Amino acid sequence: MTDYALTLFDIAVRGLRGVSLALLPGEIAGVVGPAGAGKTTLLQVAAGCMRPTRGEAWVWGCRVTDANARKLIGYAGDQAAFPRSLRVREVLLYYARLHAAADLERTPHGLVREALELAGLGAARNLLVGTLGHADLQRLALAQALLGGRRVLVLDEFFTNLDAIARRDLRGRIARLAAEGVAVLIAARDPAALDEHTVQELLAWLGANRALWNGVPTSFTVNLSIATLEDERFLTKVGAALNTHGIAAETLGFEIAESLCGQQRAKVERFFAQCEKLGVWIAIDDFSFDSQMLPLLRSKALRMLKLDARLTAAALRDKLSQAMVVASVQAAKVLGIHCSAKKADSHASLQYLAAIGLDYAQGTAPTRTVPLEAIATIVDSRSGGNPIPENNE
Amino acid sequence: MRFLQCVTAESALVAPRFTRTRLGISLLALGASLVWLSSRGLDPVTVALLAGSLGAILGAAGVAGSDNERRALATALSHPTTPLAIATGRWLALTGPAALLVIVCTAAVDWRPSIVAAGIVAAGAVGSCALSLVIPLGNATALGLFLLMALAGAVAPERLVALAHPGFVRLAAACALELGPALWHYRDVATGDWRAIAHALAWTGLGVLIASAFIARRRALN
Repeated sequence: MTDYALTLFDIAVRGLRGVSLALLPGEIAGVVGPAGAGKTTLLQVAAGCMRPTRGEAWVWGCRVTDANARKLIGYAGDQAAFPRSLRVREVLLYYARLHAAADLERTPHGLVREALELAGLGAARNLLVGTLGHADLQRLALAQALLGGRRVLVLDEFFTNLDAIARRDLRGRIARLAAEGVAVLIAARDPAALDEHTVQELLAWLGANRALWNGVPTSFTVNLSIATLEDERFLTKVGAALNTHGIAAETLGFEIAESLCGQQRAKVERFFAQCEKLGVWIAIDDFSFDSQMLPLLRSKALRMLKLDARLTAAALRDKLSQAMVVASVQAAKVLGIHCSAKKADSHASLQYLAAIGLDYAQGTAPTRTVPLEAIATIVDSRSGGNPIPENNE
Repeated sequence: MRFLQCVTAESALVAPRFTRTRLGISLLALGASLVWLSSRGLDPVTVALLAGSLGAILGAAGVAGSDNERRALATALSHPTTPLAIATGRWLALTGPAALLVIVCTAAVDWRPSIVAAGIVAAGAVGSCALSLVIPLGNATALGLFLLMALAGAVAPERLVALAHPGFVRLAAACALELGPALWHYRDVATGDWRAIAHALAWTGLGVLIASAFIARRRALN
């Protein structure tokens, strides 16, 4: 359990039932949902602010409700409150004294200097909290959350109501903390913000680590939510980021679940057209040969169909499912689209999928979230890493 | 040791508030009013008791009673400290200025160590009670307690109970005045009455414990 920075196991509290997650050091994971979905409740359990009625939460092998966990995990919310009559450095000095009381090797003033630098608050150190704008208040919330070198950050609605510049700056700071091994759990009401965050961080990483992936045919995919498909400016921002980092558009792909494509048809079609124009590609996830989807298969942006795992699993015993899998594979071949099956773990299913001419397959989906740096490995395993042998004797 | 360091961190928060909030000017105005009242016949012991108790209530409102301060408790609890350390530190933070006010007022009126001791003991007990009220209920209760102490705190219970209706109300009023922190109790501290000292110490401890229980409940309120 100590391999994980943060572990939630079978958490039940208020409206939440059986929530489990595990974060490795350096991972950034997002919890997305509408208001009232239980994001804040889950994050408060993760931060040790609330006791679950069932289940356990651990930070570096220590129960989050233990006093020692306060040294390891920091919490910052959108509504974080600080004494308004104090200056920024006085507020941080107050928290730093609490940490110094727990760790006598560190001086409060040293901890404050470190936190001010990491949160980018150096220029505002002498300002009264009551005079700070929202962006600086969020920086202060971040500074207090990471004070004392804490290894896990829990950020609730952290990017809400921030302007684009502040959001980008704070995103960069959080990414740098993650690169140093800090695990970050972020809750957001707006899934589009997290999608954009993921794409921007991926492109920034690709731009900075070109030597690791350039020279081999590689592509990277990001799963998108319906909110992002509805965001008309999303692809404009992606295009700008691709130009900024000098990355070819075909390197980037987006995965969209078939169920989402049916929800906002006109917007999805517009999104497909924009992707085609930009040069990025699309994979339809959980494809089940829904007749409504067929017109979208004409799009030149579409490069891969990922068959619904339930469909491929049922194909071994159900003729209708078998017919739909075969039809999907044949349609993909005719249209020049790759086709992939998920959860192709058994020898029997691999044999069957090879027999019907499937291009690619992947094993059981990872049960844990994966660091941004490891995305190449995941994409590889999802889209091209496990080609089915032609002869599976 | 760690507990004491956390308490010190809390109590260090009071100094910047003297000049940046209404706390400093309110204490000055209170002190000036009491000195003026003493020149009009208010006895020195009452001046010390009122300076201690009313100063402590103002302190409780200043260091813990505002909505912002109460919400900030949840942030403080996400750091390595405990509700008891926070409550003890805030109690020290509000008692310190009140004790200083007692010393200044007593020096201006009639300096006697026994009177100063009575004022400081009253500050501790009433401040602790005020803290246990403002943390869950906010500054409106501080105003109520302030008025109660200013107007009725120094009056002996017999006189107040006589004003109440007979029966249950009278009994309840008598019990409240007997058990609650009241200045007529702490007047006897100046004469070394151990029961008055014990009453004040009990309220000091009880108030801090109740306040820490309410602070612990604020952990998940943000």
